[in-house]
Amino acid sequence: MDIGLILLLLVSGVAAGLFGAILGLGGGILVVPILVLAAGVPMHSAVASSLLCVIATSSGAAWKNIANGVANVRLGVSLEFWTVLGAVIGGLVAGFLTGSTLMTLFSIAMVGIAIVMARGGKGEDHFLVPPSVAPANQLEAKVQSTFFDPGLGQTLHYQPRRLPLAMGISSFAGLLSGLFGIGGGLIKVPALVQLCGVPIKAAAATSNFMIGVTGAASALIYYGRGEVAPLAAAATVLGVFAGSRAGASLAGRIGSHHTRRVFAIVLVLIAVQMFMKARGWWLS
Amino acid sequence: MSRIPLVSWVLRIGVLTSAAFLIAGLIDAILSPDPAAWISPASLVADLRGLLRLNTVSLVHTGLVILLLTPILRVIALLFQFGRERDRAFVLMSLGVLFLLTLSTWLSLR
Repeated sequence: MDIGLILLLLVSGVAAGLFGAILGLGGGILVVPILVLAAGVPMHSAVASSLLCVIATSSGAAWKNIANGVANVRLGVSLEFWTVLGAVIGGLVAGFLTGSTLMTLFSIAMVGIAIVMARGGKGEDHFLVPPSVAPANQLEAKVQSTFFDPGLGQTLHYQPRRLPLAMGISSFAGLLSGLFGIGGGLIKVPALVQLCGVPIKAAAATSNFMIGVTGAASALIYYGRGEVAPLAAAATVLGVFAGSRAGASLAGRIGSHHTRRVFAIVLVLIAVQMFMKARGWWLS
Repeated sequence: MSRIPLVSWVLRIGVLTSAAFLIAGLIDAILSPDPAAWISPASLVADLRGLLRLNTVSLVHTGLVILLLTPILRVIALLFQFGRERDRAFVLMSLGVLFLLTLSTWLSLR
């Protein structure tokens, strides 16, 4: 493998992980177009590499989030079956699609994600469900949780609600993850915050906790079809992992509102390039 | 909840071990370029057969397989934790996830 290409993939991975962590995206949405447009990796291999990046960033962040109690493990496990089911279906469906069809669908999904980002992304905290309100059922009672938020300087106790709705949304997020190699946090986190009343930090940590398993479920299917280009995947995984660690420490220091809008425009531009490549109008 | 850090350790060890193999593989690739490793995608069966050969491709494959196994081991660790806590509902949920992951593994090994 060409050393220049390894370095390009490493640097691209670092950039994707860095911006992904700053914007709360994970990085998958950037890894795929970078691999396809800049490195000429086939679409399915790019999705497979991106899924491996999702596993690395999820596992790398989850160990801390579980240990400090921010990730709600029981909430994650109760949604995990549904998101993994979606991921398996997405991974299988992708096998029936041509690279250009998958690329076209990906570019459309990118525009959708750009719109969500431009409109405010993950939303505000809506966790003010009083803990004194009785949970609706046994499962809700078990997913109650408490964690210390250092930003607020206080301990938050919350009661997640509307779990069946969250399960349905998790399936959809899993489907998109399996199809496009994204983590799906941009769908799950707002749903957990705005529909289920989970504090945003807990929602992001819980979503992150889940996406490693989601990514593994569909990555195995891509692996089985022989769509993992090993060295490209390795270079990208290491780059994204390093970039996401650096981005996580920068995330609190960079104003995200303006950055998100600028980035939404960049995503649309990349989506247009992906669409053009899918139609054969892009020379690279 | 006192055993949750065990799950953290599973994730930590999995990611770090995987990263060590991937870094070793990439260094080996840079020192002795092997274009085939880049061009030809791999299958899981081929990877498992090649794990014992300490060349660039097998180092990288080992790292990727460990990375793939890490979330699966995390599910198994939680399954045992819920079992010890006699939480039947969460044992069943973990078994459901494990079933789907087994299905994916079976599909990848076919």
